[in-house]
Amino acid sequence: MARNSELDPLDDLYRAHSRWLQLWLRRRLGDREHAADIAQDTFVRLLVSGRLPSLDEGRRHLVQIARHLLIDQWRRQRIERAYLDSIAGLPEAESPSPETQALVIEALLQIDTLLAAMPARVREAFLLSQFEGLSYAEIAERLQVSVSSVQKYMLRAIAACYRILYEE
Amino acid sequence: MKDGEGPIAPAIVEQASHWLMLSWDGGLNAEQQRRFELWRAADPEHLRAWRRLERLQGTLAGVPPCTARQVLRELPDGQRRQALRLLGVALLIGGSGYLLRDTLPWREAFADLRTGTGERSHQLLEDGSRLALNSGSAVKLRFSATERRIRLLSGELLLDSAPDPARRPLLVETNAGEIQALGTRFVVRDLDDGARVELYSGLLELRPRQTAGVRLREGQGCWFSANRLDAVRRADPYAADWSENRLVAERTPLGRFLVELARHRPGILRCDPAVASLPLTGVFPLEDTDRVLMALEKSLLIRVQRLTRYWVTILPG
Repeated sequence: MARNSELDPLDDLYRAHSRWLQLWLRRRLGDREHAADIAQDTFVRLLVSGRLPSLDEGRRHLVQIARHLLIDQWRRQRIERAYLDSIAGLPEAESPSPETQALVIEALLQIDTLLAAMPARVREAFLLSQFEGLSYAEIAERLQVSVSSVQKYMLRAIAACYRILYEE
Repeated sequence: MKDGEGPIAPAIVEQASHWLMLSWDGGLNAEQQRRFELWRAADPEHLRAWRRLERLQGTLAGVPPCTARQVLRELPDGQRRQALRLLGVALLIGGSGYLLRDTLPWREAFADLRTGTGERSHQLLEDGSRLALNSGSAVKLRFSATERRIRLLSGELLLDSAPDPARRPLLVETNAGEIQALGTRFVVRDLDDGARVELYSGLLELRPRQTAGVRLREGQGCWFSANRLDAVRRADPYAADWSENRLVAERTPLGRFLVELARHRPGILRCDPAVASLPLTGVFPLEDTDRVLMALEKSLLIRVQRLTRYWVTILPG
């Protein structure tokens, strides 16, 4: 019987750690189903990454992936809720379609990721420029810095975005 | 998000970034525009770099600015670290695992105890008092040598006070004013315009910040703001049921019931005016609000429309 050699190491990891991972998650989430979902996703991520840890590094690696999944899920929920709150008051006719909602939420998630990569002042300048439409002179006034400082902040913001979009 | 054609020289990326930065300050003037077009045409790599930055602009344009402003408010780096830290802490009972509120106005970022949407919690305080928090609440605890003070930042709490061996006064503070408790079990709910109090046992003294206060006896309730005190009335017997994961309706208009239920689930729950006054009676467990909605569909002539998990409307059936 032929054995798929790529699946065996993952199989071993799964047998060694999956129950432990679910318990670890269940203690933190208090919810068996949610813990099972995340545990499953963790192994999928591991498979997709193509980089399997050794059996004894396994737990630390799995926990790292699980933590990232939880944070991403938390981020997505937070953004979804905040977005739905923001359109809740709109009259029926102006309410965005479910398809539009899904696209906007994806865009918000991406932008959130980009913003998280920026230091606070850079992020502030970027938000004021892109979402409040302020000129650099106005931003300089608001942040009490020089216009050339604002230009430097914006360059750093663009560099941070480029790194995430094209270098990771 | 790779265009599959390999990295671009950093110097060129810098140049492209410089043009983008300039264009974001109210656009390029005629002279800048001319020089930009010359730069872009000078080398295919310049164009490739510019295309990549154009995609960034596309992502930013995918969200209407006012939505972005509301949703992407200041995101302190602290939130991410806090999320990591909280993942190591046991969850408070109830809810499905989301530990933080949707948004964190600055004052609530400093809360000592907090519940997310759909979470309820029970805590034993250092003096033996029992504090329960309803969905979406935040409190600060300030127990000192001279007093036991609980600051309700938002949401709703149920306090079962314990006698203090050191005889320190027990105070609950809200935006509207202070409440002093004497051997009590009571609920305080923070509302936008004031605070609502229901007293189930013991005595309370209400002290609005800017006007005369009042004493409440067991079985009484009251609403007050900083400068106004409503008439003392009978306490709502069901106002503490959330602490036992229940929502009770007794010929309660459906619309009003849904407003309360909505506190316990993320997203939007709407009610068609045509069915909002249908009277509802029953005891509904809060652990699974989707089940509650299904139960409503069975017992009333209504239909639950789910556009997404977070966008639910109750319509005539």
